[in-house]
Amino acid sequence: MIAHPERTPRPRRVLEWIDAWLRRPESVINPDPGWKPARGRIGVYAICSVFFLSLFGLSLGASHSWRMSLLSAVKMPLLFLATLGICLPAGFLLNLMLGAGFSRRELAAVYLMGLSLLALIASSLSPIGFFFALTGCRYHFYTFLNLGFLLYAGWAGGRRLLFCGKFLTGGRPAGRRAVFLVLVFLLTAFVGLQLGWTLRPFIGDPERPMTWFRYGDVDRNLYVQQWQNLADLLRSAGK
Amino acid sequence: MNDGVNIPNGEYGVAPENENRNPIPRAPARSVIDRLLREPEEFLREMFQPGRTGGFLPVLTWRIIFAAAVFGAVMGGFHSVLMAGTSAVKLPLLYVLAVLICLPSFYTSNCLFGSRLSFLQVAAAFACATAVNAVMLAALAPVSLFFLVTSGSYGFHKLLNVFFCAVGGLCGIWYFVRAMRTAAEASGQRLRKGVMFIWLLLYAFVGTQLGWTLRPFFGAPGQPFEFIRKGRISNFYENIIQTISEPDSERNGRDN
Repeated sequence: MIAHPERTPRPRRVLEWIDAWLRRPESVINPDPGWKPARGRIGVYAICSVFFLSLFGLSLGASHSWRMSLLSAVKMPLLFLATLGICLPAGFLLNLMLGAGFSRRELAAVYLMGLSLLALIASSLSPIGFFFALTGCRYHFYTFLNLGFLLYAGWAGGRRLLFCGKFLTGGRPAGRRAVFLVLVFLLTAFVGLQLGWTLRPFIGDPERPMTWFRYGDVDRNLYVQQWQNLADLLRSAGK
Repeated sequence: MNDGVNIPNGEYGVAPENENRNPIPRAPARSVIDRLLREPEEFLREMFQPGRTGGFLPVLTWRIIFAAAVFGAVMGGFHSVLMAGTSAVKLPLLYVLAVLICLPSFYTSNCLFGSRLSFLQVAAAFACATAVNAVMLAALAPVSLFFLVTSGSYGFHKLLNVFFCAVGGLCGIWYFVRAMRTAAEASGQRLRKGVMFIWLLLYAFVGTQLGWTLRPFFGAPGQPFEFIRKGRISNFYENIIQTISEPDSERNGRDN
């Protein structure tokens, strides 16, 4: 779909690629069922993910200070790429067990395709985040706003993950592939949430000084912490 | 122009039969608003043609800035000449910035839900809607000015202008829906009403907060002139929640 790639200037080609990836994903992914993603292709999705996640990270920290902005711009891509690294072996094993038929490279490609869309959607919402950060809002308002943005972007990324999975590994049963991709998505979300909890702060409470990482005040495990919160809530309601 | 032979197509609502239907290489500055209001479907179809959209954007943007400045001047006119001048700067800024902040997310959301509209097409649909909104306000500015000169009531002036803004906003929404429908038809698709509705809510959400940040637009009589309200930068929504939970709090009075 991108016309005359050698004649078009590079920035324009990049914009055209982003536009095509958003509007006509089927034209960007090769619909050939036997397609093996080349290293360069995976690199494009990785670069896209890192760049746009950094952009979103900038807006996340903007309500605290510019230093927190820069820190979040580094941490956001790290969070998602590290999640990929942690989940890939288990994902590949699951892939073999369920007979979904992805190769390791294909699995990485599908994950990065979903991630790049997540990054694009999240960064397209970052002007709104920047705006609220600069015009002044409370920490909790900003946290909920960005949580909403990330949930929406995550849902979009998950949908793209399923969509891209359909184009790869031809000849395998579509149902198994879909079940596998949903399981991979859930595993990634499970690991990603805990990793995000470990790497916090991303937004940073404006009333507290900037720190690289925050430990000590609450439990290190997100799920244990949330379970305790729920137990406290029920206990207080029962009194 | 004087003998009627060189009139561009559709400029006065009458298209000479012997002329080509689309002879205009780029948007003619004079007739854009006239055509947008008089024959919107035809104008929008022409604007959404591939390669033509970009040419219309600067023309529409200047119309928005000029028309909003006229109404802004009347809005601030109750307080002082200085307030009229600053409101004439701030109101166009409000309209243009609100669109710029929301445009990327609307474009990506549209793509996500299967729309094939390009970024420029989405931007042009917005520019049309905002232009209609601003022109409507500019057309109502003489009415507002008349009441400003004759009545002298600040409360009435404020309510009347807020009502006019609401009327302008509704006209803008109406034209936005028309523009999006035309753009969808041009690319052979149906209109995504759900996405559009959610986005309009988002736009209102951002626009309200931006208007709150840029206040005062009217300037209460007796208060000294301020370009931007000093003090704590506050969030409109937090202020509303605070007002509901503590209606008589001292802070609410100060922030409003």
